[in-house]
Amino acid sequence: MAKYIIKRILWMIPVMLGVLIIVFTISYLTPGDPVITILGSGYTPEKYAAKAAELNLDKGYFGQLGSYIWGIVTRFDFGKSFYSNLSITGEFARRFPITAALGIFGCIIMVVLGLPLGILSAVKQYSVLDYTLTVIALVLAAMPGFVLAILGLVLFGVRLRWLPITGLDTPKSWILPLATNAMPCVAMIMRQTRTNMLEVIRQDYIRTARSKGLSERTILWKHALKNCLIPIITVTGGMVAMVMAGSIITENIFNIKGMGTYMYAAIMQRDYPIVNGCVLLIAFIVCCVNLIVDICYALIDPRIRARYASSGKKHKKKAHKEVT
Amino acid sequence: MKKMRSILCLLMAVLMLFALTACGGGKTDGGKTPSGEDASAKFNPGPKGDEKITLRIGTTGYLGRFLSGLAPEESHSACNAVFDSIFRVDPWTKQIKSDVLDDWYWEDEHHFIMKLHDGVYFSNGQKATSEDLLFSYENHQERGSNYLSGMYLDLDKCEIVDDMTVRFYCEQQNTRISTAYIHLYCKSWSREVGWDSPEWYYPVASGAYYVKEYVADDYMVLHVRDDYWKHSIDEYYVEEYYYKYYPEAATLFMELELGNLDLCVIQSTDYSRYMSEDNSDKNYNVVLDATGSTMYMNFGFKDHDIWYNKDLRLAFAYGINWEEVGMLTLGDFYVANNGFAPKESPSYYDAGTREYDPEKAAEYLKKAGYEPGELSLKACMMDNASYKNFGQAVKYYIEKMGVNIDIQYADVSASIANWVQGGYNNDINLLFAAGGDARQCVTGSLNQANLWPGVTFAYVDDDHFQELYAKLCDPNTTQEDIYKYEKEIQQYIFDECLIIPFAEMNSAFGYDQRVIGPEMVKAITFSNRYQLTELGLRSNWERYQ
Amino acid sequence: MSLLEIKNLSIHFVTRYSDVHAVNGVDLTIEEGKTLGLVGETGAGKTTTALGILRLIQKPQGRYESGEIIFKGKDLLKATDDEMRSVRGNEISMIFQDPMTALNPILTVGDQIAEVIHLHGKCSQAEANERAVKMLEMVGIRAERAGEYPHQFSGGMKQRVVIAMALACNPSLLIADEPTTALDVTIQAQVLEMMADLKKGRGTAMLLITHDLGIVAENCDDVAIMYAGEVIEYGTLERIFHNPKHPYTLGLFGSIPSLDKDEERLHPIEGLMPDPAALPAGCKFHDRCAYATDECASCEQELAEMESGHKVRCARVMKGEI
Repeated sequence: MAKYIIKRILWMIPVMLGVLIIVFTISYLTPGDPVITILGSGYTPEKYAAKAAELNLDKGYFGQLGSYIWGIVTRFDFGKSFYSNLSITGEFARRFPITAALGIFGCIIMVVLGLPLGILSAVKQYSVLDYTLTVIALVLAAMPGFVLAILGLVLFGVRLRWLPITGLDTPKSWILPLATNAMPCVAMIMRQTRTNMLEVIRQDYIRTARSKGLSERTILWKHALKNCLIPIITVTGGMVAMVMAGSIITENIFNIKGMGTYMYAAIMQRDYPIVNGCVLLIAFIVCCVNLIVDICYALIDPRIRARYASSGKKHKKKAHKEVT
Repeated sequence: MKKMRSILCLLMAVLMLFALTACGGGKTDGGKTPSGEDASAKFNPGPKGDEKITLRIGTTGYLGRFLSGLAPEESHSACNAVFDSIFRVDPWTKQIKSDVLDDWYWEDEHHFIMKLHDGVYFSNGQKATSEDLLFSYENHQERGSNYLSGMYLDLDKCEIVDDMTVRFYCEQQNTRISTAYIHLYCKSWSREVGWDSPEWYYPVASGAYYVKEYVADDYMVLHVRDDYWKHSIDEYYVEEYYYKYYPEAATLFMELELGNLDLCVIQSTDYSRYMSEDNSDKNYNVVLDATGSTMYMNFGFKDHDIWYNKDLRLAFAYGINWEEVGMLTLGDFYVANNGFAPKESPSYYDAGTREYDPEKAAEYLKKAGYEPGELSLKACMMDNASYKNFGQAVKYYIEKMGVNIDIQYADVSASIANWVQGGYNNDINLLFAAGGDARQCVTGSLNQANLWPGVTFAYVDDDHFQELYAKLCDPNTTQEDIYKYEKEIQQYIFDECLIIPFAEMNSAFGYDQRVIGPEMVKAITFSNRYQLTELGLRSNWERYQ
Repeated sequence: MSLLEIKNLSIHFVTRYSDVHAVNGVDLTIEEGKTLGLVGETGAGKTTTALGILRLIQKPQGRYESGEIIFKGKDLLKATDDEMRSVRGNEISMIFQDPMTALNPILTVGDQIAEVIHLHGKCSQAEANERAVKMLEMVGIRAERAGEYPHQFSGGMKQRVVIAMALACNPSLLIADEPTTALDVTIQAQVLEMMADLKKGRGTAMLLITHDLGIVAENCDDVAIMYAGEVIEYGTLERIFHNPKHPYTLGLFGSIPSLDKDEERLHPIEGLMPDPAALPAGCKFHDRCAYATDECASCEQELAEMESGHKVRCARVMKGEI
């Protein structure tokens, strides 16, 4: 298992390198010259040459790619913003913890609310509670994040004045951004849990467990939940990417100075070094999340664990199977 | 039974949604000031005794370094507080004034003299000299900003006369030299740090405020200086400006509604509901302020020679419903205007209107020698709401006339680059130039029409027009003659249909009426910018008490 | 007193769109230590009857319409949920048809056996584990495999695990629902043999559900033939096999190819079993019955004692017309 994890971590290197090359190539090939954009109407050939040299844009594709990779690998340096001239790494250090905190709390809310509500909904299938939760979940899942955010702002911020509408200065100010970020995910996790749970509790082994005389609680927590978690982990993994993407909307509406606002401003300004850096960071996070998801699978499902363990010693496994 | 349940649940959900939206649309009690101030204080803002305030300004524009003239423009309003302006418009008289010059005049046809005040000090204690004055212009050329365009300035021929005097050389006389916002830069410090330094977040400057705190993309605090050369610290009512950046306009206006902001620009017509409502009982209000320029459509004479054909131009004047276009472009901000000065300006002149008449348009198109479907046009516009709305509206009418048009939308800098470099087929385009003060709004509005090389499609290639424009720009023309020529040029433009103006430009500002009054807001704002130096002075606030 | 006595048990599945009469007035008796074979086609209501005994009918659709299930003198249908739980797995346990899906894939087999021992055996977890390993050894699985997961076992081995689990608490009644149907023919015999041995050793009574008459012949003391939710013939193994009376039973025996004769074709019973949601009036079998009269289509048939230990649900048989 440990071997497998190490292998997976090592595999991330070529994946990240691939992403890096793709991202760099796309921004390299994107029509529109950043130098012209920066110079604007003050364009002259001399100024162009000077600015291009300054931004390292005069070296050709491989030269630029090489120095970009070298900078990241050796100094964790993503370059500087075209416009503000501030170090991107420094901005990441300042902003990433904010987005990460929002994301992690969002995921916690997502699991803590979505999972039990989904189970409840499944166990009490066709009850009023189930219908109500289902309708709420559908509404939440169907409502785009920004609508939810604006509704929340207008209702709780402006009309009722219970919650502050921008920033993250007080504990109260976390409520709205977290809610907007997490609620659609809560809804989706809830629906997924309900569906899976309903499927799992119809399985033969649950009937077997009942025939053993186990209590409903034991059946639910010991026999059903773990089985129903496997697809949910996949969805949760995907949710992390969704929360990251959602942070662009949430942070901009709530004026939170995290990665979302940074990326949005950079995209609007065509500040490619920042956009590239953000994409790389997101790719890295998604890679990590996938790894964690895979490890979670293995922890829960012995069948997958067996496959991981045997990936290095296939022959042995085959022989073993023949004996049985 | 089960059906009933599910219907019940659905109803519940619908009710929930209704509750939410109903709350959104309901009457607010925001007017009853939460802090419990009495009504007289609410609507009679201004300084009491020695009190000082922090003014909170919200913006949806990016904050940046204090270097004006770069695209995207960085910290543009705040520059006015941190730097002294060489020329600017006096908020009260609407005349050109200078923070730092004692005198300025045309010595002859080419030479413009500026005399720096003896006793201007930068925040590092250095005294400003003519070197710094000249450098304030030179740096724009060096950095490639577009602030010098239209000045016909030849910096190589400019010379320093003495410690305080600079003789500028211009290829031709123009008003642009005294209407552009140029700030006084400290040459030695600028040289020391270079243009890319983060030091430009905390620049050495001679203005009344200094940057106390700067957090990129978030907020900045400008604090009044205790060693400002011009005024003592006691003369300032606004001790600090707190500038906050909001990436999302909706949030910005909610903050205004909540009383967390004192001043902001309302750029988007999406929030015009603030103007249509009666806000007298609320803590915030909105005021419209003419920027001094008008919105007009250009024909790209130099880009496409078909436009020398007057009949074709007339076909477009009749074939497009300008009122509709204006409404669609500006929404609630739309104020019809067929001249080049705002209606409140003495330069305003109504040369006449051409009502929307598709039949006449078809006639003129035929007279110009084009069958429907024969003519194809191209245009490149900025990728923002105004241009897109304008582009779509105009495209609708043009295609209705039987003329094909292809409009491309590009981002700000790319389209400016295209416009300036030419080479693009800029058949028609929308323009709204910064108009300047009331005295010069016609020339200001038409600034680009006289500029070559400049924005290619804006140049009006017509001798009589250029002749009239030159007379307007002549510094020796008296004010009386200026009004006369302004009428003449506006009438000529209308008669010849050289340009089609259709609306005047207004900015809307939201403000907290417990803190600041509408007259004050109108006075200190100018084309989406604030004159923070003037706004800070206690004496200016007392004018409206 | 019999170990289990089922009287007039009816189970319906009611949904919004249909009312499925799965079990209709079934009477069965199982004596201690004896094996009752429940035979019938797919959909005859055998499994529903078995699940009905353990009250594992799917709720809320499944409903007991009538009947009593007297187990050791107590009506299980009147027992509380808690009482029912202490019966399940402890006094009555069940072996399911498909061992592939009957085991929880994410728990070790040892765990799954130990769980039931721990629950009913009132012993510590360690002791339960120990006894689980012993049970595995009893069904012929090496002790060290207790820590393995179901996917590491073959089908026959899994069924052994299920059997070990079912017998772990020494139940008085074992319900085996087609325990060998999903297994290879070669393994079927092994498993059945093992079950018979274990049962004999422990004196466990068994309800063996199957559609395989061969299995019945080898394992059962009594036989009940089910058709469309009803028992249509019921008696000792001997009587049913040597003297089948009901036309359906005859048909069942007739459909088994004989090894002695050279037969070219199989002889299935013509027609299909009626839809349990729309059962015909009168004798449920009449439209497939070669001996049916008009009377068969209109009159409900009673399960009547033809001779001692042999009951038949057919008016014509009772009248001696067949």
